[in-house]
Amino acid sequence: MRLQFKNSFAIAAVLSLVSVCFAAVAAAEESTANPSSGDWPQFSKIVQPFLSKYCFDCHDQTAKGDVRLDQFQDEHALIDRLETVEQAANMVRRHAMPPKKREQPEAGQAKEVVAWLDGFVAKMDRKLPANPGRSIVRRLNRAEYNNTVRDLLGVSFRPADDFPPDDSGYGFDNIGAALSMSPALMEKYLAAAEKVARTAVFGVERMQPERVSHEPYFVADAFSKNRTVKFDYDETGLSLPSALHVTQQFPVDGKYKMRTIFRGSRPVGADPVEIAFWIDGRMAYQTKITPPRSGEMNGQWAEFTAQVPAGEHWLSVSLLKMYEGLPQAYKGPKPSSVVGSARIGADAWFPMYLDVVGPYEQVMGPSEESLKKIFPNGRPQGTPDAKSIREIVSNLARQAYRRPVSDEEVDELVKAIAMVQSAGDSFDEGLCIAIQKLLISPYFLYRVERAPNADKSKPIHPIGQHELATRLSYFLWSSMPDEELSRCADEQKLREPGVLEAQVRRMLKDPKAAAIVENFGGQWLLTRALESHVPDRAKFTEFTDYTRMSMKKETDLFFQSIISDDRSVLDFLDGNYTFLNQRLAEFYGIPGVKGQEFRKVDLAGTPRGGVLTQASVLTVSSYANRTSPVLRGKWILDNIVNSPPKPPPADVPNLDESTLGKSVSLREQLEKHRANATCAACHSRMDPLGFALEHFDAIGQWRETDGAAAIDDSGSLPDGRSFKGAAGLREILRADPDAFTDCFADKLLTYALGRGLEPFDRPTVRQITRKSAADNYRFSSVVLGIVESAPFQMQKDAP
Amino acid sequence: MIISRKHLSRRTFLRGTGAVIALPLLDAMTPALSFGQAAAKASPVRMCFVYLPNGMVMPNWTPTAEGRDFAYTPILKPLEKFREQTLILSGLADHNANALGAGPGDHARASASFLTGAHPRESGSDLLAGVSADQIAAKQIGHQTRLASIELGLEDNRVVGLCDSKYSCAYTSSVSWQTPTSPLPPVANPRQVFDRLFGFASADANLDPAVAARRAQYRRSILDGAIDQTKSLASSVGPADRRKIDEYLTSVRELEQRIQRVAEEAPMQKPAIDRPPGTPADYAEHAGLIFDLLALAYQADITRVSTMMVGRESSIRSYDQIGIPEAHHQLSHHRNDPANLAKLTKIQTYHMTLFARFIEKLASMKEGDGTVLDRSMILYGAGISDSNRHLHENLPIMLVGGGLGGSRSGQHIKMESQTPVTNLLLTMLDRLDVHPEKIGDSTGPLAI
Repeated sequence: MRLQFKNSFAIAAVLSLVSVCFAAVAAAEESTANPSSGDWPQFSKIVQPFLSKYCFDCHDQTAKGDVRLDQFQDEHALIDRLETVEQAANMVRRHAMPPKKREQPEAGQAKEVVAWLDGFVAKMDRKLPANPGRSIVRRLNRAEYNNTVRDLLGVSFRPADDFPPDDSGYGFDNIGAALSMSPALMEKYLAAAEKVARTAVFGVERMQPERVSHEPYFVADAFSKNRTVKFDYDETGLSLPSALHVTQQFPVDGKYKMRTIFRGSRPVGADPVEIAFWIDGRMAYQTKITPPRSGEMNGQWAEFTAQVPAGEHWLSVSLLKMYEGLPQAYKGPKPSSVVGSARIGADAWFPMYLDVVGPYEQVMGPSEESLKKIFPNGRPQGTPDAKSIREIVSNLARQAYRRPVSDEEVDELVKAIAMVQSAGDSFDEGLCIAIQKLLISPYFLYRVERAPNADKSKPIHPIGQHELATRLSYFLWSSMPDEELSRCADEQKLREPGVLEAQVRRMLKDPKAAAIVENFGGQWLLTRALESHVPDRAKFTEFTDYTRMSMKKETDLFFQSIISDDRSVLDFLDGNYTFLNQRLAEFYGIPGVKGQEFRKVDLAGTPRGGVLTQASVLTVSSYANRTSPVLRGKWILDNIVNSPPKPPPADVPNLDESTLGKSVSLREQLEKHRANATCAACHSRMDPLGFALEHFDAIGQWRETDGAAAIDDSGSLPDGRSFKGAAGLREILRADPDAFTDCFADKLLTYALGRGLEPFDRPTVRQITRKSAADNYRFSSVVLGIVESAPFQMQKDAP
Repeated sequence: MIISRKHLSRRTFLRGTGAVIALPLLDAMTPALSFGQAAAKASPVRMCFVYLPNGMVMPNWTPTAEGRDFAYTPILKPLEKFREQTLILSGLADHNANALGAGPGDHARASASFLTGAHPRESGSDLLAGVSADQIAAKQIGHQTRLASIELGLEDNRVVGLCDSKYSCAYTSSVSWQTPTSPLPPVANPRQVFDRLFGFASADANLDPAVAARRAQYRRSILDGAIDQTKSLASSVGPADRRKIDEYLTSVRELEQRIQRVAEEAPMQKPAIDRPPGTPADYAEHAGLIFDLLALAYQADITRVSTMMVGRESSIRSYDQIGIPEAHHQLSHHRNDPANLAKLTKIQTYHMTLFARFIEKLASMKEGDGTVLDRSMILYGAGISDSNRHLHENLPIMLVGGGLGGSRSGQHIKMESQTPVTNLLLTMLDRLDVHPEKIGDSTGPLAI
């Protein structure tokens, strides 16, 4: 409904969204300063004459764009259409209305009207009773399941990675209505419960060593396509196009044998060839290989064995010390004394396969972590007595269900253990079954919020303390509440002054808050798609798996620093810093960053700043083989401005890609496209935003030209303001901080509530934005705004 | 069965994962496994569609003579041993794979229309084709087996985005379409195939039978407990929550029934194959393993319907192991260069060799007084004939196995030109007693 409204209400105008508005800031200040602003008696003096003079031509009974502004005969009429009031204020504020070709109001008058409208909306937001809406039960999604069993039982093998992907809605995969269940998934849950329980109680079952073969997609390609080598590659060789990079999930602590098989030829001069294996960016093994005189590397191999802890690890194989190996024709530093053909560059070598075989000498038995979780008072000797059994299972049940448990619920678990024991199995076996029962229970798999035994006359009520704690922990950690948070709920303290805020601040500092980056950030910025994005490899030889990993890491670290340092969310727009390793710094053309560790880098003097110019975002908003101002513009409208364009009509002709960048520039083609009025409605909003980023190619590298065509990165918006390049775009977005914060709050609230937002949520989003503005737009201010909001704190019973 | 499902528009869904991303297998879109009453187990007929990417060198495929005593061509040669169980059909066409006003994208259209007969929408995200023949069958007869169907492949389907001009990779990755908007991506990892086929049986296979039996019993009691717990929960929540809880309850019940059924009807057996560690690097080994798993699934009657993509459409795999380092797709634009044609023929003959081993396997599996092959109908074919020109007529199509019945087996039949291949699909479904009104552009079953 909200979207529809946006679309129907003068589409062309919405794009002015990005309109600069110092007036807006001033107006907001004024409205706080002057409490009478927005008072109904003033309406007929300040607003009514303005509307009648500038708006009624179209927005009377004509109702252009389904908007009427002529029916505000009393305060209630305004209250009933608060969304229209808000939009009208935005239209005028952003010079989107009245239309350019009509008579324009005088600036002072417009400002006064906007101030009154803003003041009225703000007053009503405070005054009107909140409608928290209804969140429905939410099944744990994959990330939440993995984190929850980790925190509940100390089991870290990520069982849910094996589950089918979760369905998404509203851009996120934690939306209650979209998270479905099926017998197939149920079978996965049943199997996972068994494996998790047995791993926690007995340790991972003895595994036969298995071979995992990696044959990276990009490496072989680098061999055939990329024969130029950066001289200034980092000494580790990790950033060479021919280096091999993969990630692998290791099921269990143990020894693993890694074996790599090479192809190609010995790099000229590299004799012997020095090879290194890396685990998580640390060199794990180094060796030398002396190939036959012919230099033939095909079939040569190297292997070593390492102790690897369970979990996901990044494995690499690289060529060390290539400088000496460079043929003279490369004109690099320290050219080889051996006269060789430049044709066989250092890239004429690559690790074709990496096989990982293991585990050997598997670490057996339950982990200390698991034992601590299951037996917080120490593991009992022998079969525990009835009292201890009750203690053990009720402690686990309380955490698994994220609430206090009843005696009957504990009885059921105790009975299950007895049943197993009477079948001849041990107490530990019984305990496993009790844990499996917990992990299959709807109270574990779903976040259930039970309607209180309510007074039907009050359908809106605060959720319970444990439900609040649960909402909070899944919002900030994608996992269950920890002991401290649970204790606050047990003691009914969460709503005492300062307690909730203190908990939020504590939780944001916890490493588990990285879940926000991973699960919210990855979906909001679409950087999750980076993993599977495959740029045209022939065209973009710089795009290797290492580049891909580095890009993702940059954005993750950037987001993480905004959380950890509690910086302004406006840094997403124009933060003048980022996090780079040598690979990415070279990729960006930023000197002075050596080695593969990421560090904070000042971006002053570069064209970059904020997420819009991070390679991750530029890549996922491009096609495989070229940039698309349309896609990038849409990305901005969707994710920065929260004003998604309508899908294109079915009969629109497609862009003729064959001529791109050849005879006609992309811009000319798109301009032709916009000559069509149907197209122009949306494309005049999208394309200029995207064009500002045209100096960044489809993998986010700076470029001077697009093929043969020169790049024109200037643009103008429907409201007439023009700008140039990424810097101009940043400036224009940054000029309306509330517009971005509103968008960010909208997305984060959707994620926090696990439901799509409705028109009645607008007051909440506006309040969060106002509150955040008053606190320098700090990240925590948005989070606190959400946590303290009615929809997060309350629940509306279904009729 | 009360599996309620909220419709999410593709755009809504796509927002979650990326702007131009293909559709991953959504559990919500897969059919709920259902294990009905003891199914008629006598002589079930199995149906399989083996899809070949990048067309075929037709002169080396099509036999010159018609009827029975035709000479096997180079590509067909590896299968000659099964001449009597093979029916070669020439002249069939996949009309909707043609552009018909859309832009380039013949590969995407070929795979997407092959079993659906639909003209796929030219789109990177808003997928639209039709329901494929295998899924039409799965919907009707799927409840008789543990799995309604299984979709197999040999290439990782994580490739997303646009794979063929403006067509999503989902079109080139799948031939199975559960609904007109949801393709089912093939599973290529043998371990995942194994787990899907054997479920708990695989986990329990290495246990002492008494222990395994106890565990199975515990699982049932765990599910029982969950059902009891849920009943009380369902009464304390509102209607929207109750739908979700009902969905859970239905899933638990169905799973419980299924475990019960397995316990009663099919005592736990160790699968005749070890759980594969992962995907073999060697293509032939990989193909062999997937085909073996499929044969086992047929033999154990775990499913009767499957598709198998020997490669994704427009596959760029290179076949180094048989001396062809070039990418298959690039090579398929052969420009009638004899060297290219020879290489392509070599690849296509190689595929046939791997397929022949599968047929051999089915022929070696005794069932009743015949073999599993006798009760199978396996379509082997492509949605492109001449890859150089992307032709979608006179397709390379053959049917192997005795499941189709009739007396035409062992022949090469030339159909009237432009006969829709979907007519053949209707004929096959007919043998399973599945009678859709039509499939895409079909005009009626073939008289074979």
